[in-house]
Amino acid sequence: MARTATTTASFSLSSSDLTSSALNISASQQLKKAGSRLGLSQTTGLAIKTTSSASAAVITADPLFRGDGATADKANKVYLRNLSTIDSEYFTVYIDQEEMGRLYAGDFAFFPWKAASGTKETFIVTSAGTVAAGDSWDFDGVTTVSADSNSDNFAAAVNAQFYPNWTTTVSTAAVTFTARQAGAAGVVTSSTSITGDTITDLAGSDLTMAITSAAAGTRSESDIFVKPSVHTEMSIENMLIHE
Amino acid sequence: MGNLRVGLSLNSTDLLSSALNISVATSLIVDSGSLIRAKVLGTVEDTNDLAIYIVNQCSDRAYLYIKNLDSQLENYIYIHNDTDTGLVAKVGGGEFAFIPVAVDKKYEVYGTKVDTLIEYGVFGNDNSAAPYGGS
Repeated sequence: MARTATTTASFSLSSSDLTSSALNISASQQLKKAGSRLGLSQTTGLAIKTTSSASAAVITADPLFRGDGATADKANKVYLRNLSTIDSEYFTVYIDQEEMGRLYAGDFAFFPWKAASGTKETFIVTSAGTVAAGDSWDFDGVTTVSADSNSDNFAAAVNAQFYPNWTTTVSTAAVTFTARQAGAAGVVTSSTSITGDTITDLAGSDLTMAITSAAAGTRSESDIFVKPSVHTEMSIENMLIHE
Repeated sequence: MGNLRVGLSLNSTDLLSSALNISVATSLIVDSGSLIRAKVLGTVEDTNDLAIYIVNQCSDRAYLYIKNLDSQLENYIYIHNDTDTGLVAKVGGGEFAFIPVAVDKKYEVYGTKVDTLIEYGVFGNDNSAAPYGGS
């Protein structure tokens, strides 16, 4: 049964002196899944991210939420608040290349998030030729050493490893690698080649790890970045509620 | 100058295993603002977009409150600025957003369907050289 939750967001905006008559706006909504009466049921939880840099010259925008982290084109919601108490300090909020605006000290924002993800790089590497015990293949900082002379077993061993940036599946001697995050990482350089892998043919056999298929990725166009205005410590409170 | 009080609360008893109860409020010192109800004509990003903030309409800082008044969640409005690639936000029917505005960019809206009714307001420090509503 699909999990559901009832979450209510309420907003108020009021002023007794901005206009000649009192201003009083309020809005409230239950956070529901797109195309459904069920409530959004997943969240990152309430978190605080603190930024700092060595100097003002090297301030960078940090990713807060990746498009891959939520279902694309759905009713995801984002809450942000600048926890700074220094009036002039702000975070500039970006949705990928699109500048949303600045959150000054104490300011908050609440908005729906499209979370469009990009595509993940993927490639298939196939163990071919004669593998021998001691032969190895290195990729993503992980080295797999063959225990015997069976290609399928070697492919299974490659698949059994844990890769920091890739997930894998295996079918006989072919291992399919898929990037954990969408992006044009540059590992896939053509439909039959990648960078960064090393084969070691210790036993003098003719093992090859051919790239038999590959596809480059594209970046997500909705990652949320925040860029602090100063290099000293600033903190932003954040929460994603998503499908 | 006026004191604009804005507040947001997020509450749930079952989103997490412990109750969620976030309540924040802040005072914004601004000298101008608007609250407008309007229909959105365009359904793609083009010249039919509804301009909701013009370049340098406010100085220093500005805030946008926007609510999609359509009754169907799937009838979205799309907010973007005119100089960057991509979207600022996609707001479903019945949903609202409160976001900061990059004061030197123009913000526009288009929708899933013609004549989507929205309510929006921009609050900030007015720049008389680029008045509300354009010139």
